[in-house]
Amino acid sequence: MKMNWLFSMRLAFVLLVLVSLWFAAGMAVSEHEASRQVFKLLNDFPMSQWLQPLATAPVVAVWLIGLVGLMVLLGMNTALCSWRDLWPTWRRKRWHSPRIMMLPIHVLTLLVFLFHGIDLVFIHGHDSAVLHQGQHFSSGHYQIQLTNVDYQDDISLIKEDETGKSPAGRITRRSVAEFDPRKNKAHFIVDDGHKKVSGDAEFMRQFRVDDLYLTVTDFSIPYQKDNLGVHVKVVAVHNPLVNYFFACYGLLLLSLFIQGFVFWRRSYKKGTR
Amino acid sequence: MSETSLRSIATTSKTRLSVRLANVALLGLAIFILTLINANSLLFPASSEIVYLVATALICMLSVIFLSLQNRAQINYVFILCALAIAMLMYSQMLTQPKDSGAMLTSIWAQLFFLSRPLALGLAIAACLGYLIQALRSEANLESHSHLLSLFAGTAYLGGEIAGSYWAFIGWGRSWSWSGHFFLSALTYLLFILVFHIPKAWFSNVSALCMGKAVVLGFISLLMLGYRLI
Repeated sequence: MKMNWLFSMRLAFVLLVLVSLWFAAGMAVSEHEASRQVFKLLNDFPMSQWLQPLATAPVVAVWLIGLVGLMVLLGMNTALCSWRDLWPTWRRKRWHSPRIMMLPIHVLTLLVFLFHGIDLVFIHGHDSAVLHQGQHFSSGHYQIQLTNVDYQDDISLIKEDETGKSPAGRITRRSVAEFDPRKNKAHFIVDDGHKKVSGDAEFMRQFRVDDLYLTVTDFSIPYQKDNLGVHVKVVAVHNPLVNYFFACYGLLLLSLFIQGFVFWRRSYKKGTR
Repeated sequence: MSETSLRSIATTSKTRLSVRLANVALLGLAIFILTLINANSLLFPASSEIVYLVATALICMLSVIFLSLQNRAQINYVFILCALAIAMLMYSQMLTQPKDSGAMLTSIWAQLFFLSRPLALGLAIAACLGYLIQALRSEANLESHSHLLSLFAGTAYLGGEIAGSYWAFIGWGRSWSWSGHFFLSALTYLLFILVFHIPKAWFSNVSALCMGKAVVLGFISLLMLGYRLI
């Protein structure tokens, strides 16, 4: 049986349309409160722990399986098209070909797919805790202690009531006058069993120790815990791949710019501009 | 050369000059409005609807500033784009000015993420219109211009996605999440990719292919505008 259809750009077009429609369906599914809660759980757990939340939401499960299937097909199609149609330009060393950047663009897109897949299966998921000064928690083989909180903004705005709400509201909704991320920081000591490393983390400025990224996601004073001072919500993420992931994205962007330049130069020479 | 043809050339030159002047004036106006908005804020309010529209109009004007106007169809193209930019600038003035500067905007990655959207949208609108005119007037010679604009629109969108991913990673510890916002981002980027994967064999001629690309880019533009403004 001939498998030429797997190499075709027509299949790529059909798959791109289908994946787009699938994401549109995903948007509709995520509008339902029950599904939204399941998606939130998927965000917090690695793939190995997804079975339980997905069992309660078959629509999300079907959507997810469909998405993975379509992405695998699209990945295969991209790889095969690159090998058959784009690799020969490089093999024949046709450096002046207008299609020269097509191979890096497609290969880097595949790598980005791959990193998303690895992230999904092995890495997605993290440990989080709300700590006050002196408290610690563990994440993997790391012991993380909050040694100091340097909060410069008005603390009355982050005092939570019995429902957990504060006058300043969610951190993403706060104005820079209420909360300036550049002024407020938390000091941590991280112990990996061999060495202790200390450093500061701010909101949107992580403290990194090897593959551990400490992210401060909120400052608050929980209800009736004023005496313990400002609490810090901290997220510990172990992601050894993140730099490679962003390097691939950066190279993809660069390849696209080069492709744009190649096309512009060619059309300029041809006089179509 | 007859007097009629000389008069026709003179009229075309005048129209070309007036369209170019309108193009430059609107570009200047958009920059001026952005400067005024920025002067009233602690941080540049890249996430606001007003900046979204003004920056989109600015990019529409910037996308044709270096296009040498060789024929009537190209003059009409710039003219229609100017009209769209005026409409966006006028609508933006009906929106309320951003009062507070969000804490999130202290991150350069957040600013880049928000600014990438109008950048991509402005280029997509200009590319869509270019393909549309090319489809209707085959002598317009706008195909390569529109191709380049759609390539840069997709690249700008991807750049914004990368900046947004990095912002999400440093802010929440994850570069993406299972949520409607991320699904829409993926959907829009896939549609940008789709523009370059429309099989030529499915269309009877180049005009039909250009119309196909214009339809996809038009859909992307409406999607981006609708999601942000409605």
